[in-house]
Amino acid sequence: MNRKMAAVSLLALFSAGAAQAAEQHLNFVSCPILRDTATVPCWLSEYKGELYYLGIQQDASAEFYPPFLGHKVLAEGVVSSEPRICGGIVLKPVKISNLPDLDPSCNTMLPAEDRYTVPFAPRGPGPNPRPSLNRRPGGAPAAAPAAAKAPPTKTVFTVYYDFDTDWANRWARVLGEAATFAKTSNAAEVQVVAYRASVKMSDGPDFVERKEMGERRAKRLEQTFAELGLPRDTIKVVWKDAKKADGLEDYKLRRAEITVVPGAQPATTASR
Amino acid sequence: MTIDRASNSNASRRRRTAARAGVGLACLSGVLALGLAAAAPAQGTYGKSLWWEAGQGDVLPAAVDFDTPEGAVGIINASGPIETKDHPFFTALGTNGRACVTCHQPANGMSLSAQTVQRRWEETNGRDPLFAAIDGSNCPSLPQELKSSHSLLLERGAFRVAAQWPPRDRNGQAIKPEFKIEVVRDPTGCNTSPVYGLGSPTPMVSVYRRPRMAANLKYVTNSGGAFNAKNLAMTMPLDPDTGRPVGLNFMADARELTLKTQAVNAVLGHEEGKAAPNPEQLKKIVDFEMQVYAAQKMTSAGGALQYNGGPPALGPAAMRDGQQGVLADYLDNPVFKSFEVWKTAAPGETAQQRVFRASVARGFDVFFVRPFWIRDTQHINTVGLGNPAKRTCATCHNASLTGQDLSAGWVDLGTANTPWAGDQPDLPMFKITCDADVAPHTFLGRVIYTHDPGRALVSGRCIDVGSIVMAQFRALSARAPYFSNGSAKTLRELVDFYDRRFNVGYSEQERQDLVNFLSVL
Ligand code: HEC
Ligand code: HEC
Repeated sequence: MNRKMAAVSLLALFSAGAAQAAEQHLNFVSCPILRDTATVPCWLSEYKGELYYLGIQQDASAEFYPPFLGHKVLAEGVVSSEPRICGGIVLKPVKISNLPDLDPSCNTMLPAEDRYTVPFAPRGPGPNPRPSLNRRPGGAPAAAPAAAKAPPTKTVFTVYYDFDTDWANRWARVLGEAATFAKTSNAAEVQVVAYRASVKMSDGPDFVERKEMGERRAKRLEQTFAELGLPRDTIKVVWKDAKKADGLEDYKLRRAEITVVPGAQPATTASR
Repeated sequence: MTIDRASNSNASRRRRTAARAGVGLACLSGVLALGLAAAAPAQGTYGKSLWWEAGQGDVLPAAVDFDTPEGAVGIINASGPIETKDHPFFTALGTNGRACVTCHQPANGMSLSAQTVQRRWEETNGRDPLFAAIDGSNCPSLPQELKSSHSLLLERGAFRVAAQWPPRDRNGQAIKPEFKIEVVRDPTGCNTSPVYGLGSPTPMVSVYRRPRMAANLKYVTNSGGAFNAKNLAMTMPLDPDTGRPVGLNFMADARELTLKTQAVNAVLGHEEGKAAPNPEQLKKIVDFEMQVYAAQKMTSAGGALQYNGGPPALGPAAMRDGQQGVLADYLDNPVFKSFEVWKTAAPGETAQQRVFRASVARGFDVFFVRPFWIRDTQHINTVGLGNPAKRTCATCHNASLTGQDLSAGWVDLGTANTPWAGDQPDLPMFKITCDADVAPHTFLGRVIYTHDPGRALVSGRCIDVGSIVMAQFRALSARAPYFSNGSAKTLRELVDFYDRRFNVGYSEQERQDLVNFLSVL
């Protein structure tokens, strides 16, 4: 539903026909290419003879995590009309997933050239082990202030995954919030629905995740919530295959939805 | 025999003490001249000996310096002088005559240098409890009187660490490892031994590791957040006493959650105790560890390191006064503060000091701002930096004042795994074959040859094979060799390792500057 709406708004944004809008999305698997610059390296990838810009090296708190030489990368992006960066057409937004298996043929490092500069503001060496997503004071959920007044209501938390991985690495804050909300709302049930998904490639057949990915994601989350102190018997997990990919925002299909159903509220909570 | 040996070594200790008094005092007055009155004079209550014997019973002063090959290492007890008589850190609690202090020597920055081990062998003809068969020999099944049976301790300063296999999780349940482990080469005989090996009734993996500093531990035990910053979806275990997440940043594989569990296992293991220390003893051990600080205090070429107006990160007082849990950077708050004062000449400096201090200040810059391509390191390149990443030494060594990684610090730098570790024939070699359906090691794939599976011995995960928790690097000059397996005999060898590992291309000058910089920490 949401995805369709997003697609619709994109269409509106580009005020273009459906066919053209579809062309704006590019999903491909290829070797990443590193180009050095005077500051940090930038990351490119080649697809059908054209060079695309993915992003630059920053640190663990950045939105973009660069790819790995030695591995192919799955790029899911939107072709933007911005000026080229590092010689590449800018994909923005872009999601990348490093494919797990080694591929020694991905080993291209290009030297710095004066004509290529990147938008980089130094922020000290990392990997910033305390990125903001792990540092939110107290880990209080956004819903907490309201919870003090009104009784807590059923709330859905969503986390997303890189292709073929079962750690929701970038979503610790959301996991923490879900766990905190489950505790403060005395959750009767924490329902986890984890999906295995596929990507509609710009060229060629759908790229499908490993069969057991949904199950792994579900079980990993069950374990995580137990470690975060939720009673195991309140955690209910299921796994499913996501619906068919349409090539627009397929990375949003690789997800798990965590529904926290609040339980009976002690009188003190309501009056606090 | 045993008694003879003990009295001999006591006598030789006293002789050394006497011989050293002059040097020690000279160094002290040099320090005092620079306006520093931290170190207590040697008033005969403790020996300035290089060896601290279990049960020796002297007072460890509030501040004291010990000579090292390169100068002096300083120890500070923030809670005041330590009465070591009957103190559980300094007293043998088990059956083999060892105490914690046996392997965590004040004169070696609360660690132990291979040089000290060798001297101890000479002094006691190999009969010191240090060489106890259980882990002070390559394998307990070897003839203990032979020097060759203790070669890894003598040459690398490395003790045998036996990890039960498969490992247990936080609740004591056996973990199903993601890989198969085979012994490819077993120079010590322990991994194929019917008693101690992988095929024994209590299967074990024996690896060989250096003791780490039992000092400055407020930094090392600093608690992170609820999640592991290296894998943000992985929760951190909780300290059973405080309910707070632990930091998972000590021991080469972070197998111990707290200093308390560490001390219990050290007594049961290293000291071959029949029972765990009692709560009072445990408290005393941990209290001691949390207030003792160590750092290099003086170098022969550079003179005093801890003085008013000197580089603010140097000396044990900086460790005592510093703030733990601070993520440093290279711009505003460098890991080891600032060496700016050593860039220009100061009144009273000798020519030799000037040359050395200028070199250290340059080495500081090499450490912090000289970029190179950090490549193929699991748990660094994989945590948002990409592979390779153009960064510096301080990228991994980012915790203020210790140079550890502030987050749970296990990283596959290549010190344990081939190809980077090379083939070190005196160490065991394991072949790890990861299951087909698990995430492979990102840069080595599913078949890995390793001298020490590191964190994977605890997690059972393929991705952790060869990842070693970085140790704090203070008092380095007092405790060679380096890296968990002691593979870098000198700081120069360590720097050369990095140059090879990351193809840095350091100039001769940069290497020397980096070595000098590390030597004053
Ligand atoms: C036989 C030598 C030996 C004895 C005795 C010994 N240790 Fe250790 N210690 C080691 C070794 C080896 C390591 C590193 C083990 C590893 O990395 O797996 C270590 C590591 C440690 C560390 C971790 C420091 C860090 O930053 O990682 C602490 C703390 C420590 N020991 C405290 C103690 C205490 C307390 C005792 C006495 C109860 C003790 N040790 C007895 C050899 C010893
Ligand atoms: C990719 C991360 C990384 C980078 C970059 C890095 N190190 Fe390390 N360092 C480690 C790890 C991991 C260890 C622990 C390895 C072991 O003990 O086997 C370590 C250990 C050390 C130690 C030894 C501490 C001891 O007590 O044995 C020193 C000293 C050190 N590094 C200095 C440096 C210097 C100098 C540089 C820059 C040339 C550097 N490191 C760059 C990860 C890194």
